[in-house]
Amino acid sequence: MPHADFLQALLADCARRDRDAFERLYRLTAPRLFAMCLSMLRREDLAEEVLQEAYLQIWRDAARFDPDRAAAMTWMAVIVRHRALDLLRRKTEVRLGEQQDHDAPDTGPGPLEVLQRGFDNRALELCLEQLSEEQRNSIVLSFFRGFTHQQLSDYLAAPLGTVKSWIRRGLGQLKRCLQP
Amino acid sequence: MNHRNPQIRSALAGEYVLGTLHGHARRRFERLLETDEALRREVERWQAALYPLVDTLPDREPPPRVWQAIVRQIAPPAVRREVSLWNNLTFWRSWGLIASTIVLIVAIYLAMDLTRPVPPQYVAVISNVEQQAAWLAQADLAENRLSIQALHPQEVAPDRSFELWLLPGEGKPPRSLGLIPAQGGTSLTLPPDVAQALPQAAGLAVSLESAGGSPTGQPTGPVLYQGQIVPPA
Repeated sequence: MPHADFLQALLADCARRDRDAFERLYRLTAPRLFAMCLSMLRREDLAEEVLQEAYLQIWRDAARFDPDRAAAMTWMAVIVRHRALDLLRRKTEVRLGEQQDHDAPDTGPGPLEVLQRGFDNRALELCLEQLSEEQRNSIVLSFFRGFTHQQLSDYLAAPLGTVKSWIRRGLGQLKRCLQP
Repeated sequence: MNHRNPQIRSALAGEYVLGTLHGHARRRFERLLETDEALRREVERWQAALYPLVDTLPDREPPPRVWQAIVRQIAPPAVRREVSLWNNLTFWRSWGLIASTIVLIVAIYLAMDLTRPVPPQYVAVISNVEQQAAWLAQADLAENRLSIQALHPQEVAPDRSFELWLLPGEGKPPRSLGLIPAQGGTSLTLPPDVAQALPQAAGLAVSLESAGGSPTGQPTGPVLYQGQIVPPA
């Protein structure tokens, strides 16, 4: 992944309606964000749809990106993930979550294996290691799979209240750890 | 839910960013965000904290159709060079060399079509000012037909059309041969006097007109492409 400043400059060019810069930005960032869509949506067609709509929003809103408030990749990933979450929440009647899990084709390594790879962000890695295994798993699964508390409870076979507590305490501890 | 308590605010913001806040509670939080700048900053802090997780994912290349769909939906650039080449003598003279090379290649290609006998065809490669070939025209004078094929899809605004003109030369005004498509091909009927004038004509040209073509019978929009007519070998 190119340096944050470079992505930031490309986004600024997009704000000036530079279509070549937008294409370069897409080529550099789409594979990572497509992987995130696949991780949450588990279906290639839905992931493509979300990716497309998200990049159109990135193009439309490029002028609103403020580099003082967020890193370029974070800003873009929030847009993509927000749309994926919206789709997931809307599709609850299709039961995209737990039921279709075993039927869904393998769209990559599970989130827990992914964490075993090297992490660029040392602080987050260390702070996640400080959490209990259940807290860490809950947070990571929620992030990569977009699970609700109920879906987490089903997936981990743990009571709803327990799962809510893992998330709440895990996040609280993460915050305390990450703050200087 | 006490939205003034900083711990609760922070906890809500964290769960909002993670995605575990949903339904009624999520909607209420989103409404708060609209007016609460400090809460927005808290959300941004959580995003900065959690989103580096994205970097642990191995890349997956999206299929080309995704980019194609995106690029189709962002406004196309304005058609370049809306400068009429009609009076530009340099333009008329300068590209002949390149065009004739292209025509030679095309003529060889046509000669290689052995599946059916090819009647004598007048050929023109119609190119833009940057000498990029845009259409291939083939005139079958025995049938009074001109077939025209786009070699690459040409960009055109929805309220515009391309119109094809025969340039008879010798000071005579251009004759419209009809509208031609920006992509794909079509077959135009040549009026007998046009078919007769074609072998001696100076060339073909394409202008950009409003949607139904020129209302006056003469080019009203810029002439963006032209081609020399090459007789059959």
